Amino acid sequence: MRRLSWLSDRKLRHRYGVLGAALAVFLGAAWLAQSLLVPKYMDHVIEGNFTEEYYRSPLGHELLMVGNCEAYENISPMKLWEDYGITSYIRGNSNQLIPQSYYLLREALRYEKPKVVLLNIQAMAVEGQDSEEYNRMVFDGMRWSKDKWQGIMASRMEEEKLADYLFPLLRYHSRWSELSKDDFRYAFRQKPQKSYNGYYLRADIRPYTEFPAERRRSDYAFPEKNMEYLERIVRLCRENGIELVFMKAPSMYPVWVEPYEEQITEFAGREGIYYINTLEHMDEIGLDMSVDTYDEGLHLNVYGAEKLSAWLGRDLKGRYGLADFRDKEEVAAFYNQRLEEYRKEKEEQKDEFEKLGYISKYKRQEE
Amino acid sequence: MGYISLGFAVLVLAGLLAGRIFGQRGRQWVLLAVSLAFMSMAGGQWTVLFWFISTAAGFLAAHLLMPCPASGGHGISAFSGVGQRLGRRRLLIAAVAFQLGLLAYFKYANLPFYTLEAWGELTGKAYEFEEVERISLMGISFYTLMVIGYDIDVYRGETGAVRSLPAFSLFTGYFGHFVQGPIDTYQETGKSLASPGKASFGDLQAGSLEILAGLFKKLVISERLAVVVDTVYGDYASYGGWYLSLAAVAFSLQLYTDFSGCMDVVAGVSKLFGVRVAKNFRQPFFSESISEFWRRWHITLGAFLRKYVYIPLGGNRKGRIRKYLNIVAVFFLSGLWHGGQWTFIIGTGLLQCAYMIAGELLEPLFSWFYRFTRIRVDSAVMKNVRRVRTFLLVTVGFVLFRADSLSMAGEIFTGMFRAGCYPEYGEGVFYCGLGRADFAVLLVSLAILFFMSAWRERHGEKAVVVGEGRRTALCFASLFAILLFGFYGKGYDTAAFIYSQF
Repeated sequence: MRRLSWLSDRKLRHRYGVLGAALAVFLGAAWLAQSLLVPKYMDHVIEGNFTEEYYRSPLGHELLMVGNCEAYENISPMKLWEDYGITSYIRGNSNQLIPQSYYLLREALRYEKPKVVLLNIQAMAVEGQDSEEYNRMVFDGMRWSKDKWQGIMASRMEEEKLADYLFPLLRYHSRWSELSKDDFRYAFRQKPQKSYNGYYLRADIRPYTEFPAERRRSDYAFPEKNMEYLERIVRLCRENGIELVFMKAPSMYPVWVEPYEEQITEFAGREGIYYINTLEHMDEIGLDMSVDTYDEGLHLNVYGAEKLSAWLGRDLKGRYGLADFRDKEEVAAFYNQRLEEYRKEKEEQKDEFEKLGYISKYKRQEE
Repeated sequence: MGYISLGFAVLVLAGLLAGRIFGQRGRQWVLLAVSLAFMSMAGGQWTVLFWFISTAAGFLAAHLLMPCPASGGHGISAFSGVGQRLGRRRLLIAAVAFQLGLLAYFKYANLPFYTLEAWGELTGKAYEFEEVERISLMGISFYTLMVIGYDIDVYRGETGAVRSLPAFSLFTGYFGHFVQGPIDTYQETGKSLASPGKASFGDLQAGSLEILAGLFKKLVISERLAVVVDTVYGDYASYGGWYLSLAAVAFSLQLYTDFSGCMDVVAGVSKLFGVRVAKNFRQPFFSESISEFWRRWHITLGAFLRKYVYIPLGGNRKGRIRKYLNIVAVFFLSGLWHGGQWTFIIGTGLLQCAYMIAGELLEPLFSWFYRFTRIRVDSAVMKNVRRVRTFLLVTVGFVLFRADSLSMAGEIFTGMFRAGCYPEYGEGVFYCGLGRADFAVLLVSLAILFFMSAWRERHGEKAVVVGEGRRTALCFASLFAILLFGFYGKGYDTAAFIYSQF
C-alpha cells in the first residue's frame, strides 16, 4: 500500500502523469526520427539492404553462400534456379569479414539447414575493417540476437560504439540535412528488394586492364583471427551436417597470391573440404574478362556471373545432389517472379548501357 | 571517459541509484566511489596516484597549520603543537611549494624551452630542443589550487582542518570539478560534499535542464563553431581578410560555449546528487569592461588569484604603481596557469592586464571625450558599444590562446587585413567547413543562447519556463533537439573539452 501512496496524492499523480506522457511523446518522436534518418540504400549504394533482405526470401535454401563482394557480385542465384532449380541465397556484404560471415551463417542456421554452404575465402587475407560504414551495412539489417551482438563485438572498429547499434538514431542523427524522398517514402513502408537472393546485378561492361602492382607484404600468413573463425565455420557446418565448400571467385584484384593459395589448399586438404579456385578454371567456365566484368576485373558483371553460376551449379549439383525445386509450386512462384524481375532489370541495364555507356544509378557511386 | 560519454552517464546513474539505496549517511561514500571510478577510468593510475599524494600532503599540512588548540583550533591531537614548534609560516611555505613543485614539473617543465622558442620567433633565430617527456595528469591544475587554497585558509583560521581524509579526498577528487573545475573552496563545496542533501524533484528537474543546457552549448554550438575555426586556422596562410576575423570571433564563442557548457553539465550533475559547485561563468560577453569580463569569466580562478595573490600583494592599497604591478602579477599567473606557453601567457594574461592598465590610465581622456561630445555614458547604445568593444578586445587575446605559436598569431593578425580567400574552395561563408543547413542551425542556436544569456542578465536565476509540467516537457524537447542537431557520434570527439587539457 505504501508503494502506491503517490496514487492518492494529487500533486504526485499529476507529476508522474506528466512525466509518463512526456516520456511517451519523446520515445515516439525518437522512433519516428530514427525511422526517417536510418539510410534506406535505395539510390546507388544498394548493398546496405542485403542483410535484411535475407529474411524476406522463403527459407529452406539448399545452397547458402557467404562472403564479401566476391560472393554477392560473382554468383547469380537466379541462374542457379533457372538452370538447375537450385534454391540458394548469398549472405554477403561489402567487405564482409570472416568473423562476420561466421555470425551471419550461425544466425541463418537458426532458421534453416542448407545442404551446402559455400564460403568465398578471399576475406581470409583481409586483416580488419577499412571503414565503419561496411560494418553498419553488415549489421544494421540483422535481427537482434546473440549472433548480432557477438558479431558486432568481434568485428567493430575502435571508434565504434555498441550504443550506436542499439539506438541507430545516435549514429544517423546528422542525416537530417540530407534526407531524400526515399527516406520519407520508406520510413514506415517495406522497401523493394534490391538484390536477387543476395546477388548484386550489374549489366555494364568495363574490360579487364592491368592493375597496378600490389605492394609486397612481409608476411602473407592469414590473420590468426580469420583462421580461428574459419575453424569455427568448419565446426559449425560439421555439427549441423552441412557440406562446406571453399571458393575463390574469379576476381583479378586484389591479387590472390601463391602463399594464400597454399594456406587454403593445405587447410582444406587437412579438413577434407572441397576447395574450388575458379581462377584456375577461367577457360573452362568460359569467362572472357573483356566482356564479363563491369569494373575492369574486380568483379564479374551479370554475363560473367551467369557463366560462373552455370558452371558452379553443375558441379555442386553433381557432387552433392542438390534438388531441383522447379516443380514445387510454392517455391517456384517466388523464384520465378524474382527471375522475371531479374531478367527485366538485366534488360533495362543492358539497354541503358548500350545507349549511354554507363548505368546512371551507379554512376555517382563510381565517380 | 569524458563528461559527455555513455560511460559517464552510466556511472552517474549508478551513483544516483546507490545514493538512494545507502541514504544520507552513505551518500558521501557513494560520491567518493564514483569520483575514484571516474578518475581512474578517465585519467588512469598515475592521475590517481599523484592526486592522492597531493591530497594527503594537503591534508597533513592543514593539520600542522592549524592555529594552536588553545586559540580554538580543531586539529588532530597527535599533530597539535607540532606545527607551532616547526613554525607555521615556514610550514605553509613548504606545503605550498610542494604543491606548486608538482604542478610546475608536470605542467611547466618545458616552459624555458618554449620561452627560448618564442624569443627565437621574435628575433628570427631557430632554437632546437627536445621536450621533457612527462606523464599527463588529469585535473592537476584544478586540485592543486583547491588544496593550496584550503591550506592557506586553515593557516589563516578561516576554516578548520578536516578530520577525515576520505572527506577531504572527496573535496579534491570530486568528479564534478576534477577535470575542468570550478576551483571550489572547502568552505562551500567541501561542506556541501560532506553532507550532500537529498535532491528534490525540483533539483532533479533543474539539474537535468542545466545538463541539457550544457550539452546544447557543447554539442550543438561549440562543435559547429569548431568546424569553422579548425577549417580556417588549419589553413590560415590561405584564408585572408574577413575569414580570419570570422574564425577569431567563432573561436571566442567556441571557447565560451565549450567551457561554460562543461560547467553547466557538472553543475547539473552535482545538483542531481544534492551538491552545489561554484558558478564559473556569469554571461561574460555582456561585460562592459575588461576587468568586468574577468570577473564573469572563469570566476573561480579569478577569485582564487584575487584572494591568494592580489590582496596579499597589497591589492590597490599601496599606490597606483604597486596596484598595476599586482595586476600584472595576477594576469601573468592566470596566463601561466592555462599552460606553459607564451601564447597563453600573453593571450589570457599580459595582454589582458595591458588592456586594464591602459583603460585606467586613459580613463580621464575618455571622461573628457564623453563630456565634450555630450554622449550619455549610461545609454543603452553606449552600453552595447562597450560590450562589443570588450568582446573584440578579448577576442584578440583568444587569437593568441588558439594559435600554436606567437608567429602563427602574428600571421593571423596580419592576414585579417589581407584581402582574399581560398580560391580553390570558392568564396563565401559556406566555404569555412559548414554547410548551409548546419550554418542555419548554428545561427538559430546562437540566437537561443543570446536569449538565454540576456534573460539571465536581466532576471538572474529566475527560470524562463515555470511550472513543473512545462519544465518536464522542456527537458524532453531539449533532449530530442540535442539528439538530432548535436555534433556527436562518428567523426566527432566530443570528449575533448578545450579546458580539460589545463
